[in-house]
Amino acid sequence: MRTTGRQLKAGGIFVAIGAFFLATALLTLDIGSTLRMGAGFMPVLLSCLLIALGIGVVLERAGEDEVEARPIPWRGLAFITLAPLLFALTVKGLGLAPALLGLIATSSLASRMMSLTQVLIVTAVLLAISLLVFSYVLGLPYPLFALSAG
Amino acid sequence: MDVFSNLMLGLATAATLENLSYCLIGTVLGTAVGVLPGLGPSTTIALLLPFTFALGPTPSLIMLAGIYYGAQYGGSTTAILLNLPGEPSSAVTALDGYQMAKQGRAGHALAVAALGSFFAGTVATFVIVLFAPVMTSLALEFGPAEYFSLIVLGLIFSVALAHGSVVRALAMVVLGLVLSLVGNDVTSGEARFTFGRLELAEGINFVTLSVGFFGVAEILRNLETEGAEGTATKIIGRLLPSWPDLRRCVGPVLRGTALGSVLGILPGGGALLSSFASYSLEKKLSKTPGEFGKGAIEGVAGPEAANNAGAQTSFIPMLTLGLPANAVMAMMVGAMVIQGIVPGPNVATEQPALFWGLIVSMWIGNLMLLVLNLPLVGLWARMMTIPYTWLFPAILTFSAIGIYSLNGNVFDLYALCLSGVLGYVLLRLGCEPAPFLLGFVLGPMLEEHMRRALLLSFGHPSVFVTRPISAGLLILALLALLAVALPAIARKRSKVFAE
Repeated sequence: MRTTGRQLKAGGIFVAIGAFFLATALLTLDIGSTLRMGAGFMPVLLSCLLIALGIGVVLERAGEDEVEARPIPWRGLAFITLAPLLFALTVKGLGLAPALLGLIATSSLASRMMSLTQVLIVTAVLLAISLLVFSYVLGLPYPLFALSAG
Repeated sequence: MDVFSNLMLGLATAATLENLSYCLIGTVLGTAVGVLPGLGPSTTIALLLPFTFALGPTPSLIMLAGIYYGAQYGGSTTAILLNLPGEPSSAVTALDGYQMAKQGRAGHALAVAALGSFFAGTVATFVIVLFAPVMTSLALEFGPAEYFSLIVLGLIFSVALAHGSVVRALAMVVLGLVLSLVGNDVTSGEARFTFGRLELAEGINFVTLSVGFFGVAEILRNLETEGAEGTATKIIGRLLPSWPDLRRCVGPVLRGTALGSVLGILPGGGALLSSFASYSLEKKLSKTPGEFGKGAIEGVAGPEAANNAGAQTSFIPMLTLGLPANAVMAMMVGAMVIQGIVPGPNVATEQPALFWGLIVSMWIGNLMLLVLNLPLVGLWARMMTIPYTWLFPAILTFSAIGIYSLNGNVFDLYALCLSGVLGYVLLRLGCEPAPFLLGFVLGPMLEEHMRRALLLSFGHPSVFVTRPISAGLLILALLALLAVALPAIARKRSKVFAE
């Protein structure tokens, strides 16, 4: 029997999340009895099950699908997570239009395949469409521009 | 209840101008995302969930349903012309469809796929009409113990019939169940796992999780294979197949429809399993199995009929029991909850217009798809050439704005990033998001029924095995689990999915 790194990582995630919920439930919640299930009853039951299954994932016979290891798109990962964060930080302070500009421009940078010109075109087109759709068609109640700090 | 009057009510609901237009929007969008590479129905439906708040329940469900079955049509177009299944259930269609395209018979393949799908969709709609009331009245007899066991059975079946590692899928179900516990406990009002954040008091937002796992995580997965797009076959050729060709398809379409209608009802079944099953069945029945994989028209007709029938009938457990069979149905349940409707057998009795309107709209939608697809196939084919690089900034923009518009709260955006990264990490480790979402949606129901069953039995957990129906359901679940654990069946199962 061999255990692959993927199994170990996947199982580890399940065990860690399970243990975290189990500990929190035991410390903060009332478990109760089967007659009167407390708020902690299901959490304890399910997190134990999750830990058990996490161990099961590690011990399972490795399947044939354990082959491909495509490189992690680090650049994509960075920009794709950064874009919504940037949007979150700017939408209240600067308004919808600048926040959208940042969101779209940042996310277009995630691709290795796009040249700077393409990034600019995609950003311009998408910004125009989004403003039209969200502000005028759907009428979302957010100001396009704001100058308040925070 | 009278089938005819129900259908009339459904027709009256579905045929209003508003509902017709949302049906059209849904089917057009569905075809488009089926055609577009890297954008499937689950991603699209997740993206649109936040925007359905403003619509009423009936139009939003009609539109979301249209996206789902519309994508079955669109997915086959890319499978045939590009050898790239627009979404998983069309993977089988690519086997013979693309070969036909290379031989210059793309038009025939497309026409057979569309006609087969339409036929199957029509039949499956009637299956729903006949079966849904039976299931509803059955479900109304269920007590909490039976319901608890039914949910367990549903979750286990969805794992057993999905592809990939069973243990991982089970762990994903339980992870979904665990995360659904976050928020104030309904009974005691105690705050669970909120860590003092008010934003978590009502639980982790279902929409945020869906968009994170099916939107953001999918983008990241697609960026892995960036630049590896195929080239489209330009020549579509004559659309209308010849008589002998059509006659060859009658059997496969009929069998595919029957197979899809049955498998679609099973949890975890739906479109994907149906198309795989139909392909292996046709190959077995064929007098010339050697032709399969080299452009056999039966290999397109059967699976295409089956996946559309399966897509339709997978609505049955969702509509009648409140049990979603796959990720898309889980999102439909989520959409209902957003609209304040409690999914389950009561939907048919308390919201008959919604219930029957949705069913009738599916048939109308299939008719629209037939009209949309055959004459406009050239237009759809051109959409395929839109590179993914242009699409994903739009997907991310939609995700972020949609999530922000839920509560006008930036906390949800942080949660979006977090669930996107978690979803991607799990995907990379071979853990599919669909079982997770099923667990998350069914978690509260599971706890509620368990609590009630135990209360009624004065705290005896034996209630789940002493009540005959509940025991039967649990035994079925156990059998399904044993079946996939046995090595012989496990090997056969992986073979079916490998084909």
